[in-house]
Amino acid sequence: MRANVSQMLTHGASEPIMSRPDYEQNALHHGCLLVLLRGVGPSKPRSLQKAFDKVRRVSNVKINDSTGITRDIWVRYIHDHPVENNDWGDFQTHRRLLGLITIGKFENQTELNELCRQHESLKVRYSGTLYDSRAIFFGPSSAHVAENINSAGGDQHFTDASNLTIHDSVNLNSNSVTNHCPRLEEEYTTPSNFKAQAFFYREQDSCSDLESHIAEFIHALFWVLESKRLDRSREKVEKVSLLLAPFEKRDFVGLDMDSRSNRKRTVGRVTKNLADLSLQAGLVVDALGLYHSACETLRAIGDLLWLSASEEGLCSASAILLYPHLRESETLHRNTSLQDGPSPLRSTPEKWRASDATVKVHAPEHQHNSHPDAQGMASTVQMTSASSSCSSVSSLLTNSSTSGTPSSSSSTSTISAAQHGARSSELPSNILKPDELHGYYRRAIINYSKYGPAAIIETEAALKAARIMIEQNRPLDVAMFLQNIFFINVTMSEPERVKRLEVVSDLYHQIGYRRKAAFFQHLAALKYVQQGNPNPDWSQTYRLMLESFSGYLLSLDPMEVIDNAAGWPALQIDLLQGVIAAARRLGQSALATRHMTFLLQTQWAHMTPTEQSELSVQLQNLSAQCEGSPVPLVLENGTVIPPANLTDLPYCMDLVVRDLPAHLRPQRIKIVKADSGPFLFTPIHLNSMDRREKKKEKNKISFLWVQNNLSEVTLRLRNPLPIELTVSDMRLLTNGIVFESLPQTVILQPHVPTTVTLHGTPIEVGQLEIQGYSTHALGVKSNCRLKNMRGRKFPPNYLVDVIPALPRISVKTSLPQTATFSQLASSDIVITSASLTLYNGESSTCIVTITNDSPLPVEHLEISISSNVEQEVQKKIFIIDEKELQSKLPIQPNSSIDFTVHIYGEADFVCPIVSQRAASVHSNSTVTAALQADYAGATMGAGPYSLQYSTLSSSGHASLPSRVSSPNQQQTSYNRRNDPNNLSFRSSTSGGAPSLAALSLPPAGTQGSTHGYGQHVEAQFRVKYSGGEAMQQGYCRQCAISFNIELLPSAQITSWDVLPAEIPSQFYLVLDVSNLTAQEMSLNYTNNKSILIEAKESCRVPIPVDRCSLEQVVAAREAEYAENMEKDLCYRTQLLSFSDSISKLCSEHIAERVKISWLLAGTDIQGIASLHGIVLTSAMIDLTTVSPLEWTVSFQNTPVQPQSEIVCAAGQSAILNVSVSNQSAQPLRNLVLTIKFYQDYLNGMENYNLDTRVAISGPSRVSIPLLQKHAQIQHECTAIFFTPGRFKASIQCCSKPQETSTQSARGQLLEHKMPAVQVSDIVGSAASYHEQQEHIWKFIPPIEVTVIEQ
Amino acid sequence: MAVCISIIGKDNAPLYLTTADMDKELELQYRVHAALDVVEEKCQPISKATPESKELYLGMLYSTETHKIYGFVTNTKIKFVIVVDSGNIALRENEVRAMFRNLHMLYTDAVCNPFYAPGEPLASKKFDRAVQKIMGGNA
Amino acid sequence: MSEDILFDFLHSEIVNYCLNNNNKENDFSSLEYIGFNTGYRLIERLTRDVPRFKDELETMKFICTDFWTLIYKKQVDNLRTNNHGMYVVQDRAFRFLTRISTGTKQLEHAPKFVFFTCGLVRGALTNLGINSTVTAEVQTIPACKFHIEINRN
Repeated sequence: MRANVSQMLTHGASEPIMSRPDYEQNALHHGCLLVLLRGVGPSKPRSLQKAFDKVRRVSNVKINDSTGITRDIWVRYIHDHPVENNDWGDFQTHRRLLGLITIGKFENQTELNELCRQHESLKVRYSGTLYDSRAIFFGPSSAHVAENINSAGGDQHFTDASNLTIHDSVNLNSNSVTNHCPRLEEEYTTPSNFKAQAFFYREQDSCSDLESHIAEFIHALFWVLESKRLDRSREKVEKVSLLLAPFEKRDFVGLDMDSRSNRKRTVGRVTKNLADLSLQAGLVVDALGLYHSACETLRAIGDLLWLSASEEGLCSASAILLYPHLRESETLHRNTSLQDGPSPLRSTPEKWRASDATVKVHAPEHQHNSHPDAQGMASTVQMTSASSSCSSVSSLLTNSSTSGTPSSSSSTSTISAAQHGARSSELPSNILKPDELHGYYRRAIINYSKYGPAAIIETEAALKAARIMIEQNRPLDVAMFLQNIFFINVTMSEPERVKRLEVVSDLYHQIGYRRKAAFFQHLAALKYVQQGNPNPDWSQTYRLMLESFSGYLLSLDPMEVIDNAAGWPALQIDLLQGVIAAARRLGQSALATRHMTFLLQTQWAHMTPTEQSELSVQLQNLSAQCEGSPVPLVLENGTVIPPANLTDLPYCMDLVVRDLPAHLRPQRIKIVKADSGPFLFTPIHLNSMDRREKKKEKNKISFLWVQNNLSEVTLRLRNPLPIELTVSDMRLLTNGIVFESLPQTVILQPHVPTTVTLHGTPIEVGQLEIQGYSTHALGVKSNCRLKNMRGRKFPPNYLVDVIPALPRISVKTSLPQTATFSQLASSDIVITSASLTLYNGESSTCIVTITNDSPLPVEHLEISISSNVEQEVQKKIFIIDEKELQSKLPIQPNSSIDFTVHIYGEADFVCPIVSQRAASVHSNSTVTAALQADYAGATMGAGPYSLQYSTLSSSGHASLPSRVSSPNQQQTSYNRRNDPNNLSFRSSTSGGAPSLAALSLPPAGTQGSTHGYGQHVEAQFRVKYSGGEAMQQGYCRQCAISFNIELLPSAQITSWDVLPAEIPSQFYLVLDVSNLTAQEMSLNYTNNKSILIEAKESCRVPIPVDRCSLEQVVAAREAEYAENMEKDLCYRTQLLSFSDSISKLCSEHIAERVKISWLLAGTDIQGIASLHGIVLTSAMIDLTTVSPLEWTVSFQNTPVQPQSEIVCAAGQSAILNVSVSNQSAQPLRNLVLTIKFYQDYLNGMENYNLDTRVAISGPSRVSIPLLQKHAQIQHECTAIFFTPGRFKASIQCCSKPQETSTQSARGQLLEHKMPAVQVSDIVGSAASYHEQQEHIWKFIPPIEVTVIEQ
Repeated sequence: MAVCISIIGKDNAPLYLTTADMDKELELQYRVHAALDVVEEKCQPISKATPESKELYLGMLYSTETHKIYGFVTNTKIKFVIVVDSGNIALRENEVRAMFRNLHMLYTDAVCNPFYAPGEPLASKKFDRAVQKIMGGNA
Repeated sequence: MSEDILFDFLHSEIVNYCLNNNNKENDFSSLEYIGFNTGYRLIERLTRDVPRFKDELETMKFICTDFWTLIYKKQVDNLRTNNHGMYVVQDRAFRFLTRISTGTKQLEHAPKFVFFTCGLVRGALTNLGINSTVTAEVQTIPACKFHIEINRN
C-alpha cells in the first residue's frame, strides 16, 4: 500500500477531476483497449528495450468471435495513467484502463519480490477497471546463476516452489523456455501474494514467444470486454441506471428518474455507452448506428454533454473507417524517428526555407497520397520525445524505443495493406462524410465548453479534431481548433500547461505552420523558467528554444543564416539572447559562447553600434569562462551545433599573398622557349593561352614559394568596434601540403585599417591552398575562411606552388660598401655592394666571398655582369676567371668560396667622337647627364686652352719641353738642323690646326665630363645559383653585388697632330698630354722615353710611329666595302664610309702601336693610357698611311736625298726634275703637281712671294688627268735664284675632288648592279677613294736650297 | 485603437512595425510573426475562389485572450498586420478595414516616393507620423 | 487632353536622354530600367482597390485592361497565350508610335519607343510576383506586339 502511495506521489497532481489531459490521444483511440505498459524495479532500459518493443508491436489482434466474425481489436499501450482518468470511463469507455503489463529485471530473489510487489500495487491501484494483468520478468543470465542461488535462500526456494499460479504459468510457457539452462522459475519464486501470470526470461533470451503471450493476453481482455458489451446490449431498457459523468453526481440527486426526459436521457446515454464498447470490441459499423441513435435521443432532450460525447464518438467511428492508416502512424513514426532525428533542427535549410515560402505548394500532395506524409510522422515522433523526456523511466524507454526493427515495420505495413483493403470495400451508409467531421467536432467542442469540469474532455476533443483536420489537410481549421484550446480554462499544473504548448506547437508543425509552432515552443520555453516556477528547467528551455529556431528562419550554421538573409532580425536577436541566457544558466558556458559568437556573426548588420560593442563585451565575458573554438559541439540529444566563426571581426579588407624577397625568388635557370612553338613570338596563340589560364584559376598565384622558406601574406584589417580590439594568435589557414604558420598578435584601434603580415613556412613541396586565417578575438577562436567572407570579391582560396628548397648564399667583397644606391634596373636583388676609385688606366682586384648559408650545397653558380657602360667597355673593366670559379663548385653547406675580379680603369684618353658615341650609349641617364651639364662649362674652358696651346706651339720653344724631357742626346746631333724644317713644315700645316681644334673642341664638352672629370661606372654582378632537387627542376636564385666604380681622370690627351717624320716610313704622332690628377705624373711614351708632368699641367710629346701600309688600307677598304654590300647599304654608305674605314684603320693602327704608361710620382698608382678612339683628319690620314706616290726629285740632275744640302749660285739656272710614280693599287685621277719656292724665317713666318728673288721657267703647276698604277710621270722645270739666301721648295701633288655628276652616275650604276657585284666594282669604287676628297701628298722633307753669291 | 501596426514584405521580413507602448513591442512582434502562417495560408491561390478570398482584407487571423490579430495583403504580396486589444469591444470590424485601407494608402504613397527603394524598411518620418495617427484611431 | 500630351513629351525626352547620354546607339537597358522602376511602383498604386488576383491570367488581364487604359488611354486590342507562360499583347495603335509616320526608315527607330513600356510591364508583373521577360515587336507602325514570357522557377 505504501508503494501504492509512493506511486501516486511520483505521479503527483491528484485533483478531484481528471487531472491530466491525454495529449497523444487521437480519434482512433476511441476504439482501443487501454493497456498500461510499465517498467518496474531498477530497470535497465537497454536490456529491457527489446521486451518493450516486442510487446508494443502487438497492437492489433484479429479475433474470431462466437458468431465467427473476425474482430479487429486494437490495443493502445500507455506508460502512465492517472487513476482519475478512469472516473470518466462511463462517459467514454476507452478511457478505462483495462490491462496491465509490467516488465522488470531482477538479479536475485529479493529483487524479484520487489518486482512482484510493485506489480501487485499497480493492480490494486487500477483495480476499479482492470480486467487482467501480466508480468514479464527477466532473470539473471545463466552465467551467474550459481552464486545467485547461493545468495537466494535455498529453503525458501523449495517452499515456494509449490505455488500453483507459477506452475500454471510454467506449464503454459514451458515449451518455449530455453532448455539448455535450468528454468528461472525453478530457481526463483514469486511471493505468495503475487497473483498474476508472469513470464520468466533469461536476460539474453530472444523471448521468441513473448508476442504470442501478449496476443493471448489481449484475447483475455477482449473476451471480458465482449461479455460486458453483451451484458450492456441485453439490458432491459427500463432497468438500466443513468450513467453519469464524474461531476454530474450531485446534479441528479433527487430527480425524478422516471420522467420521460430522464428515461430518454438514460437510454441515450446507455446507447452511447454501448456504442463505445462496440467500437472497442471492433464492431465499428454497429457503433456508428448506435452513436447515431444516441445522438438523436440526446439531442431531443438537449443533454448537450453526452450529445457531444456521442457526436465525438460518431466522428471517431467514422475516422476509424476513413483514416485507418492513422493507426500505423504511431508505429511507423518510431521507425522514421531515427532518420528524422530527435529534433527538427536536423531538418535541412532547404526544408525550412521551403516551409516559409512554399509549404502549401505541396499541400495538394497531402490529399492524394493515402499515407501521412513524412512531415506528419516526424512530428508525431517529436511529440513522443517531447512528452517523454520530462517523465518517468518507462517513458524514457518508450521514447527511445526507436529501434523499430525492420520486422516491426514490415508487420505494420502488412496490417496497413489489410486496412486499405478494408477501406476500399464500400463504407457504411451512415458514416460521416469527411467534411462533416469538422462540423461535428466543432459543435461537440462548443457544447463541452459549456461544462467547466469537462474542460479536459474538450481539450482532448480539440486535439483529436485538429489531428483529423490535419489528416484532411485543412490547416485553417486545424489552426482554429488549436487556437480554441487556449481559451479553455482548465486548472492544470504548470508542467501540464507547458506540455500542452508543446503538443500544440507540434501539431502546428505538422501543418507547416512553422512560425506558430515556433511561437508556442518559445512560449513553452519561457514557461519552463518563468519566475514563480518552483523548479525551473533550463535544459528544457534551451532545447525548446533551439527547436524553435527553424520557425524564425534561424539555422545553427551561421553561414546559412547569413547567406539567406531572411526572417525577422528583432526576433532572431531576442531568441538568440534567450538561448544564450539558457545556456549560461545551464552552466554550459561553451554553448553560451558559441551562441553569442553566432549572434554577433549573423546579426551584426541588424544591430546598432552600441549593441554591437555591448554584445562584444558580453562575449568577452562569456569566453572568459569558456573560450570558444571552431569545433562542432554535440548536445546529449545528438544535436550538433556547428562552429561559429567571427569572420568579420576584425573585418578583413583585403588579403595579399606576398612574393619572396627579390634576391630569394626562384627563377628558371634557363628560359625554355620551346613550349611557345617554333616561332619566337606568336601573339594570338599566347594570348589565348593566357586568357584560358586566367579563366581556369584566377586564384592561382603567379609566383612560387620555396620549401622551408619563410613566406608571408599581408592582410588589411579594420576593427568595426568602437573599442580597442586585440586579435591574438593569428595564423594562416592552409590546406594541401604541410605549412607551418607562425602566430601573430595585433591590437586594432577602432575603425583604423591596419596592415598585418602573417608568416609561415611551407614544409613540403607541392601546391599550397591558402583558405584564410584563424583569429583569436574576444576570447573566441575563429577560422576566417575567404569563402565565408561576404561582400568582398575574394576567391574561395589562393593556390601557391611550392618548389623544393633552394640553397641560399650571402656575399661579401674585399671592397668597402657603397653609400649610394644602384641606379641600375632590378636593383632589388642587390645584397651587397662594393665601391672603388680608380684612375683611368689603373687596374685593381676585388675578392668576392660567397658563403652558402643553407643546408643545401650550391651546385650551380653563374655570374653575369650588367652595367651602365657599353658591353665592350665593361668587358675591359671587369674580368672574371669563370673557369677558376666553376672549379670551386659545389659550395658545401655553411662553407664559402672566394673568387677574384680584376678591375681596370678603362676610359677614353683621347677626345672626341668615339668617346662621345660611348657616352651616348651609356645607360646611366640622369646622373651622368647632370655631370655633363655641370662640367660642360669647365671643359669649354679647357678646350680652347689646349687648342691655343697647340697653335702657339708653332714657335720653336713650343717643342722645347719635348727636347728637355728627352734624355737621349744622340738625336740632337741633327736636331738642330731638322728642327726648323720640321717646324716649318708644322707651320705650313698649321692651316690644318684650326680644323683640328674645331674637330676636338665640340666633343670636348661631352667627353670631357666623362673622362676629364671622373666617371661613375655602376655594375651589377648577378649571381645565379642553385642546388639540390630544385636545380634538377630547373630553378635557381639570383642575387647581385652592386659595384660602384669611380674612374678618375689620369693622363688625358687633349689634342694631337700627325707630323711627317724624318723617314717616309714613319710619322710623328704629336700628343698634348695633360695630367688631370693632383700629383706629378711621369709619363712613359715610348719604350725608353718618359716625361714628368706637373699636376694639372699639360705637355706635348712626339711619338714616332710606323706608317700604315697600303695593303692594310686596301684590305680595310675592301673588307668594309664587302660589308656594306652585305648590308645593302653600299651605294648609300660608300661615299662617307671609305674615309671612315681608313681613319678607323689608322686610329687602330696608332692605338695598338702607341701605349702610354703613366705613374703618379710618390705613389705606386700607375696605369696605361691607350689611344683608342683617336680621330684623324684626312690630312693626318695621308701622313699616317704610306703615300701612294713615290717621289724622285733631282736638282741639277743630282737626286735629292733627305737632309741633303743643295747649293747653287744665284743667277744660275738650276734644273729641277720631279718624277711621280703611282704605288697605290689603283689609278689616281686629276692630280695637280705644284712646285713652290718660299723662304722660312723660322719664326712661323713664311714668305711665298719671291717674284723678285726667284723665277721658274716652265710650269710650276702641272695637271695630271690620270696616273695609272705603277705609271710614272716626269716634270722638269728650271729655277733661277736672283739673290742669295736660303730657299725652300715645297713640292706637292694634290688631287682635286671629282665632279659630282659622275659620282652620282656611279652611285646609280652601283645601285643598279647591286645583286651581282664584281671585283671590278669593288676596285672601281675603292678607287673612288682618292677622288672623294682632296688629298695632298708632299715630297718630304722639302728641298732646301742655299743660294750663294757667285 | 490599434496596439500594433506592422508591414511585412514579400519575403516576410518586417518593413515597418510600430506599437502603442514600447515595452510590449517585442511580445507583439512575436505575435505578428506567428500570424504570418495564417496570412500565407489565406494567400494561397489554390484556396477556392470564394468571393471573400479575393478580398485584400483577410479578416481576423487569430485571437488570444489579450489580442485580436487582423491581416491584410496587397496584390503585391505586402502584408499588413494590425493587432488590437481583445478588450476593445467597441471596435467594429469595418473600422479595422478602414484602418487597413488607410494604411494601404500610406504605403502606396510611400512606395511611390522615389527616395524609397522597394524592399527596404520604411524609415520615412512622415509615414510614421501618419501611421501613428491611424493607430490612435483618428485617421 | 493636354496632360496626356505631357506624358508623350516626357516619354520622348526620356528616350532621347537615355539614348544620347550613353553614346553607344541602341543600348536600351537604362530605358528599360526606368520603365521597370516606374511599373514596379505604379502597380502598387493601381492595384490598391483591385481584388486579389486569383491566378496569372487574371493578372495579365488586369495589365491589358486597367493598367493599359490608365497609361495609354486605351485597352490592348488582343491578348493571346499558349497557357505555358507565354503571352502576346497586341496594341494596334500603340500610343508612342501613333505619332510616327509609317515607313521602313521610321521603323528602325521604333524600338526606342517600346522599350520603356517593356520595362513598365515587366516591373508591374514583378511586383505582382510574376517574374517575366518582356520583349516588343513592331512590324508596321503604329501596331506593336509585346511578348511576355513568364520565367517559372
